Amino acid sequence: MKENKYIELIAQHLSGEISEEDRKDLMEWVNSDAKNQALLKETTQLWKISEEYDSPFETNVNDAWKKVEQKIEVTNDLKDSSAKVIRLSNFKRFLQIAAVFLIGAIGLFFFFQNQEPELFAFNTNEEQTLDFLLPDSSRVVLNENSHLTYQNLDGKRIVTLEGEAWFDVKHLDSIPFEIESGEAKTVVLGTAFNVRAYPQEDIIEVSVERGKVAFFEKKNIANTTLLPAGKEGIFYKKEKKIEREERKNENAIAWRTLTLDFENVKLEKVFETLERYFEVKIEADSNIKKCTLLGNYKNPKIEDVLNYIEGVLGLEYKINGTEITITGEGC
Amino acid sequence: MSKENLSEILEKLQSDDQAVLKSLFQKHYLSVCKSIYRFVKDKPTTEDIAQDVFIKFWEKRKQLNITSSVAAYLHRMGTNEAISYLRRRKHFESEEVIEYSVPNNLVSGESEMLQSELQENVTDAINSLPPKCRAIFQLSRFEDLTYKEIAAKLDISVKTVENQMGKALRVLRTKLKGYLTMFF
Repeated sequence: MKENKYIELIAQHLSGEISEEDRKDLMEWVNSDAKNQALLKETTQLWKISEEYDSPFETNVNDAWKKVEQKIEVTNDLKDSSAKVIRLSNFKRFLQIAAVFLIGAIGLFFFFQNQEPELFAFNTNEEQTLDFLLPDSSRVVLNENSHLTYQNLDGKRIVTLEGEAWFDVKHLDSIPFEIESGEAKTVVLGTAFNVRAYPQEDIIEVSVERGKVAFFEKKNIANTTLLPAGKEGIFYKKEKKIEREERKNENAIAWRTLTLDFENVKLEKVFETLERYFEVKIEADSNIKKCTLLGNYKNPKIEDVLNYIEGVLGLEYKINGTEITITGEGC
Repeated sequence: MSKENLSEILEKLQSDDQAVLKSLFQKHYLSVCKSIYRFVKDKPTTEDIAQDVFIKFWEKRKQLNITSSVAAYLHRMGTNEAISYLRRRKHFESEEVIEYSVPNNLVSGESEMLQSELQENVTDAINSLPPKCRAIFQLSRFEDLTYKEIAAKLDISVKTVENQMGKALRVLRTKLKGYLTMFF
């Protein structure tokens, strides 16, 4: 396999990589045999003709530019929408309403400007929510870390959602409003409801405030559940099963209203709500979870709720980062 | 492209002038496609990557640091994207040489004809190299990268570059034997 070694050295020689020492070695080997000499000549020739390597490529540059232009527009829209995102603050409600008018106006402008199916995209980052009107005047409030697109296509209003959003859909006769969220699809004509569909969670949840909603598995339309006002549909991703439940309380949209309302709710459910709302983990044993809570909190801090629980139910809590442990006798 | 021209282009890009991007696109898109296609060998994928190059270029417009020329910069972006695309594919590690035969005894004909035939056969021969070997050969031969640079780009050792270069020459020599003696 001596030849292989020298072919490697020839390659180094041709690409200008060879060291002085190796060059000497190579030249000695070349000069020692006419066969070796021929090999060097052939590979040098090979290196030269490889210049002919060509990849003919033809394409329509204008078509390609159109695609690029479109993609840039979408990313601009995304950036614009996050620029208009409102940070959580005391002015939140005020700003949200201001944003409704602003984005609504922009949306309507586009809606009338351009009858081609244009794709609208909105997204939010950590700790941001976005309140806006879609081109059809449906109102959307987008929760944090969510991404939503809207398109008027084939006589339908088509929305895709990753994350959580509350909708108040403008009723338009025979123009259904469809929401695709992962494997689940929600179809409505005009109503108010909340969709929670974060990819990292095991469930997709639709909670109906007003009107009626059809909720089904995208790949299996037979798996449909009709949800009237006051009901909640939960799609279990693993089991591919939809369950209909009573809407627990108003807290499904707490992230939007900034209000937590518990009317004699078992602590087990209260903790679920708190975990979701404050993004914490609550540990407590089953005796404690049996207790019930009555209370209404506007724009609460986690401590507000925990202090109340502590005082009323005689329990103790400890906060360690996002982990909360509650101890006591329970009920 | 003159230096002055370059700074003018950069300035316009930084002030979000999309018309400049459009004219750069019209001027360089095809050649960016070509440099990507040399590695990727699939037209739709090539165009996707090339379009992404221009989108990234646009997104980076405020932080562009171009010393040579826009064309060279775009070309390098294209090559880098093509290489990282190749590396993501399992097939990249395959050692298999694509089998086909280049006629050893060339049919006589017009010299022009020979030229295009040569081009075709050289192209076929290089394309027949296993993906990693081909990428290494092309980076050395056409992109003028040093072994060290190639090793860094592909996250392999310089020794591997040496071996693969040797292998490329051995395979190409067998495939193109007919051409290697006739021109002397």
